[in-house]
Amino acid sequence: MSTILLSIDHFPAPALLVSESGVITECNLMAAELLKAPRSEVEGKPLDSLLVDLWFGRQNSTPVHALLSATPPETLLKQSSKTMDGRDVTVSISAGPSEGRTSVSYCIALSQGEAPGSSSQNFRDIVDASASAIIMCDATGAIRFASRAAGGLFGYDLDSLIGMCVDQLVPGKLKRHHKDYRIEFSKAMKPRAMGRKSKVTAVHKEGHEIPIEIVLTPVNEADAEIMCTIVDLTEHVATRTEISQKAKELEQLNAELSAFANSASHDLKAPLCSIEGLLSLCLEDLEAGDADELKKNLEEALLISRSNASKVEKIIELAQAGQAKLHKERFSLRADIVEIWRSLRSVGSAGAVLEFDLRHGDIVNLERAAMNMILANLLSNALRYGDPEKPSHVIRISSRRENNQLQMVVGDNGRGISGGNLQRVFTYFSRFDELSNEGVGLALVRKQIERLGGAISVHSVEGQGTEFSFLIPLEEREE
Amino acid sequence: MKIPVMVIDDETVDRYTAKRRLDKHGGFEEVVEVCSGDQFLERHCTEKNGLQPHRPLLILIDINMPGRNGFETIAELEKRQKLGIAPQAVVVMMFTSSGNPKDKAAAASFSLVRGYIEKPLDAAGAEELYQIYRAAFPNIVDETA
Repeated sequence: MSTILLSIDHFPAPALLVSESGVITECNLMAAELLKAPRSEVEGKPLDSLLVDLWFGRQNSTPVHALLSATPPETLLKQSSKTMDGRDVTVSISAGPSEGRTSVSYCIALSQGEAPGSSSQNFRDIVDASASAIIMCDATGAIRFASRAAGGLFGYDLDSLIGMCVDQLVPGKLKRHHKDYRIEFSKAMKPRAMGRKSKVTAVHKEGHEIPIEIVLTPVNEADAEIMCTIVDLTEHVATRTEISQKAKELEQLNAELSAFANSASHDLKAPLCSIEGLLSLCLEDLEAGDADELKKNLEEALLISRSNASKVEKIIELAQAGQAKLHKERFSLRADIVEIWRSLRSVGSAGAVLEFDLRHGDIVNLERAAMNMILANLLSNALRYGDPEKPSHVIRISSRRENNQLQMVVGDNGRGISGGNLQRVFTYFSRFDELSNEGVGLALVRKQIERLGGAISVHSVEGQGTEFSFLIPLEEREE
Repeated sequence: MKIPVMVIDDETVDRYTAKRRLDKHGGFEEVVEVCSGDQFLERHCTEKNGLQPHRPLLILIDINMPGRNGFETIAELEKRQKLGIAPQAVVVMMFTSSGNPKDKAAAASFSLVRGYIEKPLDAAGAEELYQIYRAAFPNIVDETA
């Protein structure tokens, strides 16, 4: 007896030994715990006094011991049962003990929970360990099983998922047909995967749709039971969207770069052609001995060379804008505007007046060099395009701080920009008349503002004036 | 006979070079200089019986100019010809520093445009202009040749 006792004590689950007559002869600690009674109380009692509803198939009313004795050894029987206090247990009756013994005993393993079998807890553990959500449905579409991940994915607690019709997890437009699809599937009962190529979504408890990939696997053909393995593609879709967004940005950048290279190369070539023309004439003037014309043309060629060297510098500046972030500093925007205005005025346009309406609270924390460049360009344009027919040349600069943005407007009562040209003011190398410089300034202004995360727009009425408005985000908790 | 010629270009120095080359060639009348496409349209294509030279006008036009560029100017010229407010007999030549195939293709798409001359204009270029004009109007050149 001691060998058997030992073996049942070491059995890794609640277990009982039952004699041929159905009396419990041994009980291990786990079984005692499960039955909530000391071993001494369990041992010696008939099995059916502790577990109810035991039946083993053929004869429902047969007493347990009769059944046991009729059961051929070697056979494993499994049965759902309940303890006396109503808890579900699963009873597995295994073959009799070792051969050659005088009396036959049965080893009965118990496990908590309902059928189908002692493996159900293991099954749940395994399924819950999976990162994918898993649900099982029966032929009617009712959910019979849901893994913890499924509950998380759809936003339900597991109890409310069980018994729910799977159609409820299908988005509205498909819901109507889903029943038909299920019926079709249960006829074919062939595994099917969806969502990798086509877009498949499920509906969360809160109503939003979740992109998913789903694999349907028939597991029990007779009952048309289907296992659905579901992978949440939300992050995958987000990553894909981000990548395609990045690709679009790169494409745009590439187009911008090639437009830039095109205009830059053309604009650098043009003055060289002019110089070439002049120098070939110089040679002829030299041969003809026309010193005055020769001098004049050489000076002209020199002038073009010089002005284009400075243009190349501008282009380099433009090409470098929009790269590394420069350091920010706190400075008085008003003081800088006054300084810029002073230096611009010293060049000319004596009659112009600058009106201030600065309400941004002055000290700002921004890239000072970039801000200076932006304002210098806008103010210099406003100065250059004054309308000689008006009695006064007025330039207004105003600012506000709203929603953590610096909003500025530089306006003038100058000659204005015609509608056709207005579209092109921010394009590289767009020049409109004899007052235009290299056609780089406003392109550079826009590029800098966009690099700082802002935006610029222009409004102009020919003959009345022009207004450039831009905004630049400021950092949180800034004064 | 000499060919009446106009140079439309915003670059003073390029107009100067062209003028000297064309003068030196001897086959052209004194060059009419125009600073931009817009100025050309404004001055010469606004009224009936405006600019109607005694012979077809040779026009050298730059592409990259402030305001309307060369192509936009030619498109507008075509429109105004139909309205009868622009010179009817013209030989238009693109006159540019651009060797860009896109610009060449754009030039070829205009029926008014007969050629594409890259800057700077040299002696060979001036002769080429002369020959293109002759080919376009053999009768006019021959009758006084």
